[in-house]
Amino acid sequence: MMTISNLIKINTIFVSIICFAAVAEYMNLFVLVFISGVIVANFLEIKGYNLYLPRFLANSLGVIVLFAAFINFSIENMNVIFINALIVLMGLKLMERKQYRDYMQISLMAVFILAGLSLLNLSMVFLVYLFAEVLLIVLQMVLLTVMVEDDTFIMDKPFFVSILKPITLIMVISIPTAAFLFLILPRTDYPMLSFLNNRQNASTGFTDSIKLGTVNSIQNNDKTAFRVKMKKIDDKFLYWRGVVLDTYRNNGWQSNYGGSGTKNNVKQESQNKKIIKYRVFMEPTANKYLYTLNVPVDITYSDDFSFDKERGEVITEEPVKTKISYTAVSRLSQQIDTHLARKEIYLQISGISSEVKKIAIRLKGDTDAGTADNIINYLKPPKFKYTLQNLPLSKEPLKHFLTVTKMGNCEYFASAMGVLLRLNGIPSRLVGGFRGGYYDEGAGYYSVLYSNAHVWVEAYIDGAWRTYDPTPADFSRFSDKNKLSSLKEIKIFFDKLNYFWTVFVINYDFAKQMEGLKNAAEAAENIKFDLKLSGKGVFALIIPFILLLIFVFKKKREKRTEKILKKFDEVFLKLGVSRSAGEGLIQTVDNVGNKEIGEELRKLAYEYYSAVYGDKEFNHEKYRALKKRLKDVSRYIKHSSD
Amino acid sequence: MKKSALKRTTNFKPVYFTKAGWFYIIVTIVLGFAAVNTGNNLIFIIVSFLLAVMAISGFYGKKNINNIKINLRMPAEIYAGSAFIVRLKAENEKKFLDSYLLKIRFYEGEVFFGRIGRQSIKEGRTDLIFQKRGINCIKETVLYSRFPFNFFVRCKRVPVSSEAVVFPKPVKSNESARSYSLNETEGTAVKDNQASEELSSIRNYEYGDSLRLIHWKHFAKSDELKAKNFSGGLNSPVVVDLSGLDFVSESEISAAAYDIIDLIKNNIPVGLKTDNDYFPPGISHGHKLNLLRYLALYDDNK
Repeated sequence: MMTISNLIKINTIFVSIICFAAVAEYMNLFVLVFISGVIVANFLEIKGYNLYLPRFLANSLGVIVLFAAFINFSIENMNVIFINALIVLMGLKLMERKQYRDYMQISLMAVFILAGLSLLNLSMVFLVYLFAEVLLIVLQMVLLTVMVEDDTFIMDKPFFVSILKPITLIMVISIPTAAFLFLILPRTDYPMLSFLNNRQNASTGFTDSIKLGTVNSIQNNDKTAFRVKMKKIDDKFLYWRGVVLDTYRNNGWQSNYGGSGTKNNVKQESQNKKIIKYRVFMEPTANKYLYTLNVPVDITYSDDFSFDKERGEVITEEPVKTKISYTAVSRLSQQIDTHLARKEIYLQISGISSEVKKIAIRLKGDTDAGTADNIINYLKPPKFKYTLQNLPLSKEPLKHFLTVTKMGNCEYFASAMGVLLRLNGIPSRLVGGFRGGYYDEGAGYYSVLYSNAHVWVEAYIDGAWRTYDPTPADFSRFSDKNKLSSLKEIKIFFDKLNYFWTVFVINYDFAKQMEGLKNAAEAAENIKFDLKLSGKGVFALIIPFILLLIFVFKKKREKRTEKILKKFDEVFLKLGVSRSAGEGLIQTVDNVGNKEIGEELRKLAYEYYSAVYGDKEFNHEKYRALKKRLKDVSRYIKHSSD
Repeated sequence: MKKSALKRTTNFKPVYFTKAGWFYIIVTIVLGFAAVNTGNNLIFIIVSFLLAVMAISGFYGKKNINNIKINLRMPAEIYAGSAFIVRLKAENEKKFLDSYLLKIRFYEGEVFFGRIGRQSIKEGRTDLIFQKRGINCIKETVLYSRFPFNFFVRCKRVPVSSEAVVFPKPVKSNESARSYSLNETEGTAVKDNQASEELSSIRNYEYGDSLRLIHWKHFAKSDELKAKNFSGGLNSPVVVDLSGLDFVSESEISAAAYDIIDLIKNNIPVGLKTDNDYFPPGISHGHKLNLLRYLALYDDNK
């Protein structure tokens, strides 16, 4: 038993906690401390301590908070400021002596804070918070409605349990209804406030420079980099291009000549290579590179970007700070046929030790292709080993790798090959991207994780950039789900959920809405067509439906009181007496021969009358109890007659 | 004199929005605007939920007040201008849904039920005052509920059939009440007189006789109800006379009612005479109700 106001206070705390938990990662430390204090104060309020803030003080502080928010305003972090200001305002509201409208305002602020969160984070976890919040707010509004009717109402357990039923029902029906509304709510192709969106915390992907050790830090990230809706292809083609690194300087590779737009000097592929079309759903990276399957030939993306076909590189105008998607077409190939205009760019090299130069000379073959093969063979195990641990870190990591440790990850192998090619006068570059991907047969998409990050080499030989991957790693680990740890398998499962979330929710837009409507209209037309054709079939369908309706209505009309009377009559019939129309139960009981049964029936008849005509309610429990006892009598009669 | 006691609101609306309801609608529109103009699907989800919850609450609110049967029970004696208690039974005939926060209003009375379980009956009571004598009918009650969210109040007219004869308001007035005493020989049909001292005879019990006159000993022996007749010590019967008047005013009817009640309370047999009717003096409870009912409907009888 609890007063309605205390119950509302408790629920208010839950509403607040869920809301604050959802945005905790964006909370300023001061705000976090303040809010924790507010929650504690609200708990104490339920315990009877008076810790209210006078309304005028709360309002004044609210104005100061808004003022501070305006002073700190900047386009970059306005959403975070807006959310923090809203949290403080909600905290101040929580500190006031609350009435109906205050509770409503708190619920409203919680909704606004969640809306603010949606501008910062498009993760699926949002749905969990939203659902919890909607449930609690629905409960809150029902409790507030009770309070409006009777503010001294004492909520006992049966009433509370009973009121949970309509709340559950409302929630259960609201989910499919909301899903339907989500699909049909009007959308536009030209949102006016889109600048508010998309300020997410991004995972770090490839930048325009790679120092030895960079890829390793990318690989340590377990998150999904992007997902690709496409057919399954041979693993050997799964090279996802990102950045092309053309300059070797200070023990690292840089991209200095990218982003110059479409080059027209790419020759048409003469060989009959397979063309594949796919759609990429990319997570935010805060960088400008879009990933495409080796070798991209075309790309469609709604924002500004440049596509350098010669480099096979796509660079966006703005960093990718939110979930995006784009469509691309690639040719499954290991080479880009092109005329190389500025050869010197890809031959530039500096700061190489004499030991490395010696190795390069040793590996020179008869042809450029021969040299490349020699280098690949040189870097193979058992001489060189692939490892992710204890990477060589020194002032000259490349020399250290080639001469001392002979152990490293992809960036060491690729870097070594790139340098050795250049030292032999063969233009080379490194490509930073991803290798492999886990294919989901059911949903038909590849999930590419940051741990799939990879670097490989391209050498310009015989009029084409040819792909070489010197890293002697077992590549099945990049694409074979069976080689994943069980923890990773769970991750892959959630990845699938995330994929659907991204594809069907985040990327749902005006175009998809129109497409859906068109499909629905076509489907409806087809149904109409079918109906016209088979009039008899429709008739056959309608008749049972009408019969079912009649049955349901008839059944509904039969009230409990009538059901009980019917049960009495059944028992009377078994005893060989009958109740004529208008005759009372007691009168009929008088005619029952068996005294014992007669007495029991008399008691039941009195109970029935007192239940139906008495002051107390004839509820479901009473109905069931009466029904059960009548059934017992019926059984007893049957037993004794046997 | 017959009238419907329910105050009919001429602009009866089955549903009207509360302040909170309007507020909710505005918030939904604002967020809808934000959703469309940011193209953010998560805000679309919030708006979808807001709309879904609103739609379902509307549907549920309607269901909540549907299939409620109402019965009113009036007391036997109702006097104009005096409060009396009306008992109200509300039955939730719904098969699956309980009904919550129901307010039932009729005339000036209101009964509140926190919850009525599915297929169950609850009883409430309220004070009511009818200002005018005569037949007062309550033909319908109005059912209100804010459930589930206080965004709107759903209303529904529920027909009831309750008719009450409201007796005139008893008002003491020496001037307007006209009555005359009868001597013992003139006095006829005096059935009961508590002041009597000697039992003279017994006769068959008649409807309207006071229970005090029942000869219980005789009843115990024979199972027949007999009434006792007393002789001697009778109060002189009085007849309230409203005849020969051009116009019987309300105050005269009120005064007559007061006299009838007062005389019978003092064990004085009382009769009633009007231009058309004559009720010989009597003293039983039934007789009193008969006279008061006649006065209540006086215009109709003329």
